[in-house]
Amino acid sequence: MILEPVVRVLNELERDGWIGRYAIAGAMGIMYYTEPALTYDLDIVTTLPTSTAGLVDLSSLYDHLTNDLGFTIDREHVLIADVPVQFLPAYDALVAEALEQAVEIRIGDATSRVLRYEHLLTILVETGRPKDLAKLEMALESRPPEKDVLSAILVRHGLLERWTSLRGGKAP
Amino acid sequence: MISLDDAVRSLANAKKARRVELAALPFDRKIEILKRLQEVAYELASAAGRPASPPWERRKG
Repeated sequence: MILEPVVRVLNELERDGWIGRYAIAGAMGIMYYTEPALTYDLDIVTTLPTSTAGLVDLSSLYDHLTNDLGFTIDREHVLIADVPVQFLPAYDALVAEALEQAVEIRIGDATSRVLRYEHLLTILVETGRPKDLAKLEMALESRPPEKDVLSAILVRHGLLERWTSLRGGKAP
Repeated sequence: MISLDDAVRSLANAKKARRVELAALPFDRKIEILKRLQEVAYELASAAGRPASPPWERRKG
């Protein structure tokens, strides 16, 4: 299982305090619930140390990954066990809630977390790029969300109208 | 004999059913399929002379 050594590293980073609680997000997170689709990146949302000015500090994490653990940087990714991993701070209330409610999963013999499906769909709507909307349609064709859960998330984060508009008037 | 509309509808339904089946696979199996997709995408892009993202297993971290 190619992801198992990656999540073992992530678990160590969390245990040792380099990152806070983390969860798999992005296309790989969606693929946990839907049909497989081509992707290369493993997006990880997490809480990261912030400076007194409120700025996110990735430098100490990247220094640890490269200098202490010997991984390499490939543009905005860190290559961990051949997999490009991107660390994303929980950048707004929706993502912070998604991270808090992420569910535990097993990858090989390791444990990890993935954002719940309904949060992943809502994040696609919030981001709203054409490729996100294409992913949204593909996801919905292969797996229906829990409608009550999805509706509650959309309402809570002010995205119900956008969902309905993007989906041609269809309610969740 | 069936009409063209019925044939297309039948194919679309079969594709949808296949997507639902794939969605229900264990994550480990999906990752194996993803690795194959990465290989195929790499081979097609290389054959067409386009720059291609290397599959995970061709990268060296």
